[in-house]
Amino acid sequence: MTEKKPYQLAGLLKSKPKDSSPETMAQIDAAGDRMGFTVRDPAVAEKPKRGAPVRVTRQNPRRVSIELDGADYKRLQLLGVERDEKLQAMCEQAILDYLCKHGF
Amino acid sequence: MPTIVISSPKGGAGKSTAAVILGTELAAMGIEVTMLDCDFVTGRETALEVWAGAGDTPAGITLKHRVGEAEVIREIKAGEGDGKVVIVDLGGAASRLATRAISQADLVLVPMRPTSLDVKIGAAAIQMVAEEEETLGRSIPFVVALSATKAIKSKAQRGLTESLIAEGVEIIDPPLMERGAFAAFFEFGGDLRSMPPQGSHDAAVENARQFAEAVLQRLAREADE
Repeated sequence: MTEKKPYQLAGLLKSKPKDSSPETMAQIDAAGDRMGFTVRDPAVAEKPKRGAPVRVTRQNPRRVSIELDGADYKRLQLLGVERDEKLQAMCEQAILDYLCKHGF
Repeated sequence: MPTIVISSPKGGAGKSTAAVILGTELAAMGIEVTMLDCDFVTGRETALEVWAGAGDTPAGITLKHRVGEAEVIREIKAGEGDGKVVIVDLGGAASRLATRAISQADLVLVPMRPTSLDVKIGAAAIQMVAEEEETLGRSIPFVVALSATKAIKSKAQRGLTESLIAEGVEIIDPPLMERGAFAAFFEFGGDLRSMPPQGSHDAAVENARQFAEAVLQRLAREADE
Protein backbone atom coordinates (compact mmCIF):
# COMPACT_ATOMS: atom_id res chain seq x y z
CA MET A 1 0.00 0.00 0.00
CA THR A 2 1.40 3.38 -0.91
CA GLU A 3 1.11 6.26 1.48
CA LYS A 4 -1.12 9.05 0.25
CA LYS A 5 0.94 12.21 -0.08
CA PRO A 6 -0.59 15.37 1.33
CA TYR A 7 -0.04 17.30 -1.88
CA GLN A 8 -2.20 14.75 -3.64
CA LEU A 9 -4.92 15.98 -1.31
CA ALA A 10 -4.64 19.46 -2.73
CA GLY A 11 -8.23 19.21 -3.94
CA LEU A 12 -9.27 18.88 -0.33
CA LEU A 13 -7.73 22.20 0.59
CA LYS A 14 -11.05 23.89 0.81
CA SER A 15 -11.79 27.04 2.65
CA LYS A 16 -14.81 27.18 4.90
CA PRO A 17 -17.15 30.16 4.49
CA LYS A 18 -16.31 33.00 6.83
CA ASP A 19 -18.33 35.97 7.90
CA SER A 20 -16.61 39.30 7.27
CA SER A 21 -19.62 41.58 7.50
CA PRO A 22 -19.04 44.98 9.14
CA GLU A 23 -21.17 43.90 12.13
CA THR A 24 -19.08 40.79 12.69
CA MET A 25 -15.84 42.71 12.24
CA ALA A 26 -17.01 45.22 14.85
CA GLN A 27 -17.64 42.31 17.24
CA ILE A 28 -14.21 40.88 16.44
CA ASP A 29 -12.57 44.26 17.08
CA ALA A 30 -14.43 44.53 20.38
CA ALA A 31 -13.34 41.01 21.36
CA GLY A 32 -9.75 41.95 20.49
CA ASP A 33 -9.98 45.11 22.58
CA ARG A 34 -11.19 43.08 25.56
CA MET A 35 -8.23 40.72 25.15
CA GLY A 36 -5.72 43.57 24.88
CA PHE A 37 -5.18 43.24 21.12
CA THR A 38 -5.30 47.00 20.78
CA VAL A 39 -2.16 47.98 18.82
CA ARG A 40 -3.33 49.95 15.81
CA ASP A 41 -1.92 49.80 12.34
CA PRO A 42 0.46 52.72 11.73
CA ALA A 43 -1.45 53.50 8.54
CA VAL A 44 -4.61 54.23 10.52
CA ALA A 45 -4.60 57.80 11.76
CA GLU A 46 -5.98 58.13 15.26
CA LYS A 47 -8.37 60.89 16.12
CA PRO A 48 -6.36 63.61 17.93
CA LYS A 49 -7.14 63.86 21.61
CA ARG A 50 -8.51 67.04 23.06
CA GLY A 51 -5.67 69.24 24.26
CA ALA A 52 -3.08 67.42 22.14
CA PRO A 53 -0.52 69.70 20.41
CA VAL A 54 -1.80 70.99 17.10
CA ARG A 55 -0.09 69.41 14.13
CA VAL A 56 2.00 71.85 12.10
CA THR A 57 0.43 72.32 8.71
CA ARG A 58 2.36 73.71 5.75
CA GLN A 59 1.35 76.72 3.76
CA ASN A 60 0.55 75.83 0.16
CA PRO A 61 2.27 72.41 0.35
CA ARG A 62 3.74 70.86 -2.80
CA ARG A 63 5.23 67.42 -3.14
CA VAL A 64 8.70 66.53 -4.39
CA SER A 65 9.32 62.97 -5.41
CA ILE A 66 12.77 61.54 -5.80
CA GLU A 67 13.91 58.23 -7.19
CA LEU A 68 17.16 56.82 -5.84
CA ASP A 69 19.25 53.82 -6.74
CA GLY A 70 18.36 50.89 -4.51
CA ALA A 71 21.76 50.93 -2.80
CA ASP A 72 21.54 54.66 -2.06
CA TYR A 73 18.02 54.25 -0.73
CA LYS A 74 19.16 51.42 1.49
CA ARG A 75 22.01 53.54 2.90
CA LEU A 76 19.62 56.38 3.57
CA GLN A 77 17.14 54.04 5.21
CA LEU A 78 19.81 52.49 7.45
CA LEU A 79 21.04 55.96 8.43
CA GLY A 80 17.47 56.93 9.25
CA VAL A 81 17.09 53.91 11.51
CA GLU A 82 20.47 54.62 13.12
CA ARG A 83 19.67 58.28 13.77
CA ASP A 84 15.98 57.68 14.42
CA GLU A 85 15.07 60.20 11.73
CA LYS A 86 12.33 59.92 9.18
CA LEU A 87 13.23 59.94 5.48
CA GLN A 88 10.93 62.92 5.05
CA ALA A 89 12.93 64.96 7.58
CA MET A 90 16.25 63.91 6.03
CA CYS A 91 15.11 64.87 2.52
CA GLU A 92 13.74 68.20 3.72
CA GLN A 93 17.03 69.01 5.41
CA ALA A 94 19.01 68.06 2.29
CA ILE A 95 16.84 70.30 0.10
CA LEU A 96 17.08 73.21 2.54
CA ASP A 97 20.89 72.80 2.61
CA TYR A 98 20.91 72.85 -1.17
CA LEU A 99 18.84 76.06 -1.29
CA CYS A 100 21.07 77.74 1.30
CA LYS A 101 24.18 76.67 -0.62
CA HIS A 102 22.87 78.42 -3.71
CA GLY A 103 21.84 81.57 -1.85
CA PHE A 104 18.06 81.07 -1.82
CA MET B 1 -8.56 29.13 -0.43
CA PRO B 2 -7.54 27.89 3.01
CA THR B 3 -5.89 30.59 5.04
CA ILE B 4 -3.12 29.85 7.50
CA VAL B 5 -2.48 32.68 9.93
CA ILE B 6 0.86 32.62 11.69
CA SER B 7 0.47 34.49 14.93
CA SER B 8 2.17 35.08 18.23
CA PRO B 9 2.34 38.34 20.15
CA LYS B 10 5.91 37.37 21.10
CA GLY B 11 8.62 38.77 18.85
CA GLY B 12 11.34 36.37 17.70
CA ALA B 13 9.14 33.30 18.08
CA GLY B 14 9.87 32.27 14.49
CA LYS B 15 6.76 33.56 12.72
CA SER B 16 8.45 34.84 9.57
CA THR B 17 10.81 31.86 9.37
CA ALA B 18 7.84 29.50 9.67
CA ALA B 19 6.00 31.52 6.99
CA VAL B 20 8.92 31.31 4.56
CA ILE B 21 9.51 27.60 5.20
CA LEU B 22 5.83 26.79 4.80
CA GLY B 23 5.36 29.00 1.73
CA THR B 24 8.39 27.70 -0.12
CA GLU B 25 7.69 24.06 0.70
CA LEU B 26 4.05 24.26 -0.37
CA ALA B 27 5.12 26.01 -3.58
CA ALA B 28 7.67 23.22 -4.17
CA MET B 29 4.76 20.75 -3.94
CA GLY B 30 3.04 22.64 -6.75
CA ILE B 31 0.51 24.48 -4.59
CA GLU B 32 -0.22 28.12 -5.38
CA VAL B 33 0.64 30.22 -2.36
CA THR B 34 -0.17 33.83 -1.53
CA MET B 35 1.90 35.25 1.31
CA LEU B 36 0.62 38.34 3.09
CA ASP B 37 3.31 40.26 4.93
CA CYS B 38 1.55 41.85 7.90
CA ASP B 39 4.63 42.13 10.10
CA PHE B 40 5.69 45.69 9.47
CA VAL B 41 6.80 48.81 11.25
CA THR B 42 6.89 52.07 9.32
CA GLY B 43 10.37 52.93 8.04
CA ARG B 44 11.90 49.48 8.56
CA GLU B 45 12.25 46.53 6.23
CA THR B 46 10.13 43.52 7.07
CA ALA B 47 11.56 40.02 7.31
CA LEU B 48 9.67 39.00 4.17
CA GLU B 49 11.00 42.06 2.34
CA VAL B 50 14.53 41.05 3.32
CA TRP B 51 13.86 37.50 2.10
CA ALA B 52 12.29 38.69 -1.16
CA GLY B 53 15.11 41.18 -1.72
CA ALA B 54 17.84 38.59 -1.17
CA GLY B 55 16.93 36.32 -4.09
CA ASP B 56 14.28 35.30 -6.58
CA THR B 57 10.87 34.52 -5.14
CA PRO B 58 10.13 30.87 -5.99
CA ALA B 59 7.57 30.14 -8.71
CA GLY B 60 4.05 29.72 -7.41
CA ILE B 61 4.40 32.31 -4.63
CA THR B 62 2.64 35.67 -4.75
CA LEU B 63 3.93 38.06 -2.12
CA LYS B 64 2.03 41.07 -0.84
CA HIS B 65 3.94 43.32 1.49
CA ARG B 66 2.75 45.65 4.22
CA VAL B 67 -0.84 44.53 4.33
CA GLY B 68 -2.50 46.55 7.07
CA GLU B 69 -5.61 46.14 9.17
CA ALA B 70 -7.73 48.00 6.64
CA GLU B 71 -6.77 45.66 3.77
CA VAL B 72 -6.13 42.30 5.35
CA ILE B 73 -9.60 40.81 4.93
CA ARG B 74 -9.86 42.06 1.35
CA GLU B 75 -6.45 40.58 0.51
CA ILE B 76 -7.29 37.24 2.11
CA LYS B 77 -10.47 37.05 0.07
CA ALA B 78 -8.86 38.40 -3.10
CA GLY B 79 -7.64 35.09 -4.45
CA GLU B 80 -10.37 32.87 -3.09
CA GLY B 81 -10.38 29.46 -4.73
CA ASP B 82 -9.90 25.90 -3.54
CA GLY B 83 -6.58 24.09 -3.69
CA LYS B 84 -4.55 27.22 -2.98
CA VAL B 85 -3.18 28.49 0.28
CA VAL B 86 -2.91 31.96 1.80
CA ILE B 87 -0.25 32.40 4.48
CA VAL B 88 -0.53 35.46 6.71
CA ASP B 89 2.62 36.46 8.57
CA LEU B 90 1.46 38.60 11.48
CA GLY B 91 3.60 40.95 13.51
CA GLY B 92 4.66 40.36 17.07
CA ALA B 93 2.05 42.69 18.49
CA ALA B 94 -1.33 42.15 20.06
CA SER B 95 -3.03 44.16 17.34
CA ARG B 96 -6.37 44.66 15.65
CA LEU B 97 -4.71 43.42 12.46
CA ALA B 98 -4.07 40.11 14.24
CA THR B 99 -7.64 39.71 15.44
CA ARG B 100 -9.06 40.49 12.00
CA ALA B 101 -6.73 38.04 10.25
CA ILE B 102 -7.47 35.30 12.80
CA SER B 103 -11.20 35.75 12.12
CA GLN B 104 -10.61 34.61 8.53
CA ALA B 105 -8.29 31.70 9.34
CA ASP B 106 -8.79 28.05 8.48
CA LEU B 107 -5.81 27.28 10.67
CA VAL B 108 -3.88 29.41 13.14
CA LEU B 109 -0.27 28.42 13.57
CA VAL B 110 1.37 29.69 16.76
CA PRO B 111 5.15 29.35 16.63
CA MET B 112 6.91 29.09 19.98
CA ARG B 113 10.49 28.54 20.93
CA PRO B 114 10.64 25.96 23.69
CA THR B 115 10.95 28.51 26.47
CA SER B 116 8.44 29.30 29.18
CA LEU B 117 8.40 32.97 28.07
CA ASP B 118 7.36 32.04 24.52
CA VAL B 119 4.71 29.67 25.81
CA LYS B 120 3.31 32.25 28.25
CA ILE B 121 3.15 35.04 25.67
CA GLY B 122 2.06 32.70 22.88
CA ALA B 123 -0.85 31.65 25.07
CA ALA B 124 -2.34 35.11 24.44
CA ALA B 125 -2.72 34.21 20.76
CA ILE B 126 -4.45 30.97 21.73
CA GLN B 127 -6.79 32.83 24.10
CA MET B 128 -7.57 35.27 21.29
CA VAL B 129 -8.52 32.38 19.01
CA ALA B 130 -10.88 31.03 21.68
CA GLU B 131 -12.43 34.46 22.11
CA GLU B 132 -12.99 34.80 18.37
CA GLU B 133 -14.48 31.33 18.14
CA GLU B 134 -17.08 32.40 20.66
CA THR B 135 -17.79 35.64 18.81
CA LEU B 136 -17.99 34.03 15.38
CA GLY B 137 -19.79 30.88 16.46
CA ARG B 138 -17.42 28.67 14.49
CA SER B 139 -14.32 26.74 15.41
CA ILE B 140 -10.94 28.16 14.41
CA PRO B 141 -8.43 25.32 14.60
CA PHE B 142 -5.04 26.23 15.96
CA VAL B 143 -1.79 24.39 16.38
CA VAL B 144 1.48 25.21 18.05
CA ALA B 145 4.67 24.88 16.02
CA LEU B 146 7.74 24.57 18.19
CA SER B 147 10.60 26.43 16.55
CA ALA B 148 14.39 26.52 16.84
CA THR B 149 14.41 23.22 18.72
CA LYS B 150 17.59 21.22 19.27
CA ALA B 151 18.20 17.70 18.06
CA ILE B 152 18.34 16.55 21.67
CA LYS B 153 15.22 17.65 23.52
CA SER B 154 16.00 19.71 26.60
CA LYS B 155 14.23 19.08 29.87
CA ALA B 156 12.47 22.44 29.42
CA GLN B 157 11.23 21.46 25.97
CA ARG B 158 9.90 18.14 27.21
CA GLY B 159 8.18 19.81 30.16
CA LEU B 160 6.61 22.56 28.05
CA THR B 161 5.46 20.07 25.42
CA GLU B 162 3.83 17.91 28.09
CA SER B 163 2.08 20.89 29.67
CA LEU B 164 0.76 22.10 26.28
CA ILE B 165 -0.57 18.64 25.47
CA ALA B 166 -2.12 18.41 28.95
CA GLU B 167 -3.98 21.65 28.15
CA GLY B 168 -5.33 20.07 24.99
CA VAL B 169 -3.10 22.10 22.66
CA GLU B 170 -2.15 20.34 19.45
CA ILE B 171 1.50 20.53 18.46
CA ILE B 172 2.67 20.10 14.89
CA ASP B 173 5.05 17.19 14.54
CA PRO B 174 7.87 17.58 13.56
CA PRO B 175 8.96 20.86 15.17
CA LEU B 176 11.13 23.27 13.20
CA MET B 177 14.67 22.51 14.25
CA GLU B 178 17.37 25.12 14.72
CA ARG B 179 19.13 24.94 11.35
CA GLY B 180 21.60 27.24 9.64
CA ALA B 181 19.67 26.84 6.40
CA PHE B 182 16.54 28.33 7.97
CA ALA B 183 18.44 31.42 9.08
CA ALA B 184 20.05 31.61 5.62
CA PHE B 185 16.68 32.25 3.97
CA PHE B 186 17.20 35.90 4.82
CA GLU B 187 20.72 35.90 3.40
CA PHE B 188 20.13 34.13 0.11
CA GLY B 189 16.36 34.39 -0.46
CA GLY B 190 14.62 31.79 -2.63
CA ASP B 191 14.06 28.35 -1.17
CA LEU B 192 16.14 25.63 0.47
CA ARG B 193 16.87 24.00 -2.86
CA SER B 194 18.22 27.16 -4.48
CA MET B 195 20.52 28.36 -1.70
CA PRO B 196 24.13 27.19 -1.20
CA PRO B 197 24.26 24.24 1.23
CA GLN B 198 24.30 25.34 4.87
CA GLY B 199 25.44 22.97 7.60
CA SER B 200 23.25 19.88 7.73
CA HIS B 201 21.40 21.06 4.66
CA ASP B 202 19.72 17.77 3.75
CA ALA B 203 18.37 17.47 7.27
CA ALA B 204 16.96 21.00 7.04
CA VAL B 205 15.29 20.21 3.70
CA GLU B 206 13.76 17.06 5.15
CA ASN B 207 12.61 18.86 8.31
CA ALA B 208 10.97 21.63 6.24
CA ARG B 209 9.24 19.14 3.95
CA GLN B 210 7.88 17.07 6.82
CA PHE B 211 6.73 20.20 8.63
CA ALA B 212 4.84 21.48 5.56
CA GLU B 213 3.27 18.05 5.00
CA ALA B 214 2.14 17.94 8.64
CA VAL B 215 0.49 21.36 8.26
CA LEU B 216 -1.17 20.27 5.00
CA GLN B 217 -2.47 17.11 6.63
CA ARG B 218 -3.91 19.20 9.46
CA LEU B 219 -5.63 21.46 6.91
CA ALA B 220 -6.97 18.50 4.94
CA ARG B 221 -8.33 16.97 8.15
CA GLU B 222 -10.17 20.20 8.84
CA ALA B 223 -11.71 20.16 5.36
CA ASP B 224 -12.94 16.60 5.98
CA GLU B 225 -14.68 17.51 9.25
